[in-house]
Amino acid sequence: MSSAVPSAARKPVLASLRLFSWRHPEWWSVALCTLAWGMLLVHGVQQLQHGSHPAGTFAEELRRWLWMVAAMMLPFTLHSVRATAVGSLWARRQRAMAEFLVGYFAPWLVVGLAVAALHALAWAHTSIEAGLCFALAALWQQTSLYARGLAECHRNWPLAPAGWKADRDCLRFGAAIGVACVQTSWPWMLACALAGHGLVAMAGSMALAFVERRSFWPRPRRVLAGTLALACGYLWAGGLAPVLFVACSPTLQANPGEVTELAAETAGAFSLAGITHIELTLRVPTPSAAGPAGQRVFLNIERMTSGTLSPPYDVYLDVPIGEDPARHPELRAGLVSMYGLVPASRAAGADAAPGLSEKLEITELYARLAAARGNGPASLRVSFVPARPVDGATVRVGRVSLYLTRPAP
Amino acid sequence: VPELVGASAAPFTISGGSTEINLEVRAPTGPAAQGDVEGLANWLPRRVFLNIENITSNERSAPYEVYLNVPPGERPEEHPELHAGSLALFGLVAASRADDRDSGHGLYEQLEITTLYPALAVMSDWDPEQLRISFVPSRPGSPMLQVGRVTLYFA
Repeated sequence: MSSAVPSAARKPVLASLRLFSWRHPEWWSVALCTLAWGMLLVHGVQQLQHGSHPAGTFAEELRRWLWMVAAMMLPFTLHSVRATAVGSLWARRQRAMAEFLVGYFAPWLVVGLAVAALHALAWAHTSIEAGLCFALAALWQQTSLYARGLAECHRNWPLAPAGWKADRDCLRFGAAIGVACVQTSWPWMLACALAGHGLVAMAGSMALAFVERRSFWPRPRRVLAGTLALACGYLWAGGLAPVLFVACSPTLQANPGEVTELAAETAGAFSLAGITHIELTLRVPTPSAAGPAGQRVFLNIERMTSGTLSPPYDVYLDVPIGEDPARHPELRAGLVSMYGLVPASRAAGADAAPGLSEKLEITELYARLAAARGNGPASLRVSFVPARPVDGATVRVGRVSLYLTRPAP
Repeated sequence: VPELVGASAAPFTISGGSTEINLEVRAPTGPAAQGDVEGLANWLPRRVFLNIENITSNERSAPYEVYLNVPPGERPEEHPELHAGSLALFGLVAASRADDRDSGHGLYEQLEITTLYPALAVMSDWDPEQLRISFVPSRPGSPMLQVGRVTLYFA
């Protein structure tokens, strides 16, 4: 009895699905795009949890780049994918679309190799570079090359009906659209990559591209305004905000007779829930071992918040990877006591919770580390080790920064 | 859902005079296929479209007339019953010029030949796997045109 109803209903469902696949042969490109967004969302959530943009291997960065291209660029290429299918003989429609996509991804792959290589550089992991790249995108949008690329994105290509010429034409059509898309969108995509494939950068760029390409009339001013907003946001997060924070924070304010210089900082907030390692990339100029006379080095752990009590944390510098920090007392920078953490984590009226900030002087340890390397280190590995088991307590750290102070000339 | 059943193999040029091309027609295998009909010769069309794609030129051109299966050696103008339609070519030069607003891939013209196509089947030299297409300028001295592709769709 129960089988009669499904069998009666199955036919129309199958027929509807078949009709849908006939009318929308590009459906699996949409599925690929959705999958790419899923992968990037997972990556974005992990990034938010860790509060930083960890540099991946070359292969990881290249894989993320290709996922990003699939997620962000495929929606604007669907009309060409569809045109390839509709312009091909029925028996080779799927093959034609696959060949188009291979051709389309080829120029993006070349750019992706360069971007993945760029990620190996130490400076390519902060928000400042992403902000500068968005600013570059705003300039690029004003050029004729951008406009021509945008027009080329909507071109079509005469496809041979069968044989190797049909394969060649599909590949060439995809490559032509891919090159046009690279020509149009490379600064936005590069900015998104430098932002660690951050969801804000990707969603913002995608929204701007929709405004540009899906509007009946071009909206260059809106796109320009949106791109500049992204540039300002990332520049603020990466550069301006710390500078203002230093200027406003009483604990970090420099004495009138001292010059204070921010040497390194984390890209964003992160969590402590046990032994945690982070990497600080030092900015140019790299502080040397001896440094100027009277130079002092401070490690600041800023805006720590938690809803529960937390054990103190020992802080170590440059513990070799894979080794237990507790076995290296000579690398211990100091103790973060966490005293008063919970009250400092409560918001006061309309003001956000100030959090707890700790300042460790590491002048002597830093000099020893620099001397051991023979030169100023390019990066500093900071390890946080709880003094007792954490029992599920999680501490959110707003930022870790490294400051150099020296007497004013 | 329209299905492509024939396309020219490569771009070609219409040289200002009468130009004829051959289109290889294949039996439909997708939505245009009719399960109870065997062979392309017995196929009864619902709708048939002839598309002329990527028409480009650097000069303005008078319209072209399109004829199908004109008997060899005869003038297309003498066979109004084989007239498929006109290519207006309005905006040809602008559509052929790549600039900041257009990629310059030319004009796209579509002619519905649903009524003409079955009439071709009663002609003595009917070959269901070949379609001869003649392009004839409506005025002499028309410039040279480049055509990216000609396609035939059954729906």
